[in-house]
Amino acid sequence: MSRKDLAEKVGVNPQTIGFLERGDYNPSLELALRVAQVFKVPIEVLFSFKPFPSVAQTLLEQENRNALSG
Amino acid sequence: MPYQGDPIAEKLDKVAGIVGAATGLTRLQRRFNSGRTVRFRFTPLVLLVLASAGLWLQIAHPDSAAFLAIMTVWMISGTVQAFSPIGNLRGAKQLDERETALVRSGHSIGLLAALGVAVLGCLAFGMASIAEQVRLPSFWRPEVGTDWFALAFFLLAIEANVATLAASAKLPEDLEDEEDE
Repeated sequence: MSRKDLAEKVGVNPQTIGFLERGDYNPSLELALRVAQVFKVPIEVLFSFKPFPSVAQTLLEQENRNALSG
Repeated sequence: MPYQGDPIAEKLDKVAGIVGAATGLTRLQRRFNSGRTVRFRFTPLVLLVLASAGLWLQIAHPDSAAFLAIMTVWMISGTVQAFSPIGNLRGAKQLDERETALVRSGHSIGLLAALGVAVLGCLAFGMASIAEQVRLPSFWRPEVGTDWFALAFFLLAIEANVATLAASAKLPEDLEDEEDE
C-alpha cells in the first residue's frame, strides 16, 4: 500500500504518513487507531514507545535463532 | 520535456528552460504544483529587517508615507507565508491534524512575539510621555495617524514572519522518496 493510499484511507496528507513512518510525528490516538484499523492489527503492533528494529535486523535475528535451534 | 516541432519555438523553449533553471523559477513552479511547502529560513528575517527599517523611516520622517512601505512588507510577508508550512498551497478543504497543529503553533508563537513587542512599546511610550512631563530627555512616541498605521503594520509583519519562521523550524525535513509517490 502506498503512502497516498493509506493517507486517503485515514484522511490525512501523504506527507503526514511519511513523517509517521520516520517517527517525526506523534499521531493523535484517533489517527493511530484509524491506521491500525486499516491494517486490521492491534495498535501496539504499529506504535510503540521504543523504536522498532529494522526489517534487516529482524531477519538477521530470526536467521540466527533458526541456526541455533536447527 | 522540451518542445519539438517548429525550430524557432524549440529555441525559445530552450531559452525559457535555461532562464527558468538559472533563476530558480522552474524549481519554484514545480514546488508550487506539487503543493509541498517551503521551509523559510532567511526571507522572513529579511522582511523583519525591512519592516524595522520602515518604522525607523516613519520615526525619522513622520510626514512621509513610510507606513506604506511597512504595509508592503506585511503584504509580501503574507505571500511568503502562503508558500510556508502554514500556507495552504494544496488548497485542501480541511487540514489534517499535523497541519492544523503546525498552523496553530506557528501563529501562537507569532502572536506572542507581536504581543511582546506591543507591550514593550506601550511601556516605552508611557515612559516617554512621563519623561516629557517632568522635562527629562524624551524619545519618540506615536503622535500622528500615520505613526499608528506604521505601528499596526509593523506588528502584523512581526506576527506573519515570526509565525512563518516558527512553522518552518517545526516542519521535519522533506522525505527522500516523496517524489516517487
